[in-house]
Amino acid sequence: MPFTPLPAVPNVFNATNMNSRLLELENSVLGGPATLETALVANTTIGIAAGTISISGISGSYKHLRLLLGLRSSSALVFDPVQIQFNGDTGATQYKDRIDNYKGTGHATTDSNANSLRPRCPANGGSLADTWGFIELRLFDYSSTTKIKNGLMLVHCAGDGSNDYGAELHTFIWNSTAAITAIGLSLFSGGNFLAGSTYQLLGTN
Amino acid sequence: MATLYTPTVVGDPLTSAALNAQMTQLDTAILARYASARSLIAEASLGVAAATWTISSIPQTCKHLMIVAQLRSNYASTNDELTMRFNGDSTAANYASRMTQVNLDSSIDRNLGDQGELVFRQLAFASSFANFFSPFIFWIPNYSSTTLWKMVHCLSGTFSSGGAGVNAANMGLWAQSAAISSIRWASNNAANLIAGCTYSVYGYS
Repeated sequence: MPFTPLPAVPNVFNATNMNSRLLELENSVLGGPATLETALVANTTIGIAAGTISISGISGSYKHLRLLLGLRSSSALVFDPVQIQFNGDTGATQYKDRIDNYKGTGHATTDSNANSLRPRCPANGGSLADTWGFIELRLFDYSSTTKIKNGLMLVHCAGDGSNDYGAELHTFIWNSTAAITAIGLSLFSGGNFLAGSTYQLLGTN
Repeated sequence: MATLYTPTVVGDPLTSAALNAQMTQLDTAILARYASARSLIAEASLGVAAATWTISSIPQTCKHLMIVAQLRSNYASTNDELTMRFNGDSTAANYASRMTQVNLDSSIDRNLGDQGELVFRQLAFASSFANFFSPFIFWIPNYSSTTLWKMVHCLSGTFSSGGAGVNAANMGLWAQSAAISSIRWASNNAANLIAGCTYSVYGYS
């Protein structure tokens, strides 16, 4: 129970104080104290096309993170890899990303050992108009300072609507024991995330 | 958004009892909302290496379960798997495991044998990537049903010491209608699960 009942004495309360009490209670819910099971850490829709997306100042108060991305690239490709980096780490082989890509014409497997994770999103060069790639990234024990960081990703892209569409399953490592405090996104092509791209970061206890 | 109290007279005195009734109403609504979503049922970290690890006394207050885990064994060879047994049932005929995986022995889709528990790939082992614990997500719909057989969906993956990865999508059947009240994990090669393994169990109403 999030509030303490008023005492019977003096047994009066005015409307102004009651409104304050209600707002206090409402803020405690909407603001999401760290003890809540799931809290919305960031929730943004990009208003103007941008080359990078940065989420910084991520607190260590949760156990796991879940990042939901709805993205589309301005590039002339069909799909554009999204480069995801943690804490600004651009080390050449810091990110190991096992990618299984299932699409209409079959299956492909990639072991990426690069300077970023590489899920794909649709791009203006060939993907169906007005389709947005969905990426769900789960980071496990992201604030640990003893484990290297790992997680799973699910990726869905519509592609060109014929035989070039698909889903990806990723297991990945960021080869660092540092707690994750920032997540950066950019496009491999150097293009922009289109206006309307979205990201939500959820903290889970 | 709370509907704020509107005073009807100047000062508008209000008794504590009236305020408490109002707040209790709001409090009940909030708790009902959260109760209908997701709740953390249990979490643990393995302090000492163990051959088996059991989540016991799972409450029957939710409909579905999701388990987020980071697991690793000390199996000295390669390609360890995780076994999962429900309610102490070791009857081989009650379990069936199916997985989709790419890499090892070129298998894409295969049964993992019929034994007295489910078998899931991939479980990190002794020579996996240093300090890496395999990320697992399990979904168990209708775990508390007493009429339906239980299905498990599981995503997981691992990395070799050299950074080559494996993704696995698993499905398991426990052909029993009993509600799941305990889950036992173990290495499929009789190795130990190592200290530092963790899990979080969430229930959905």
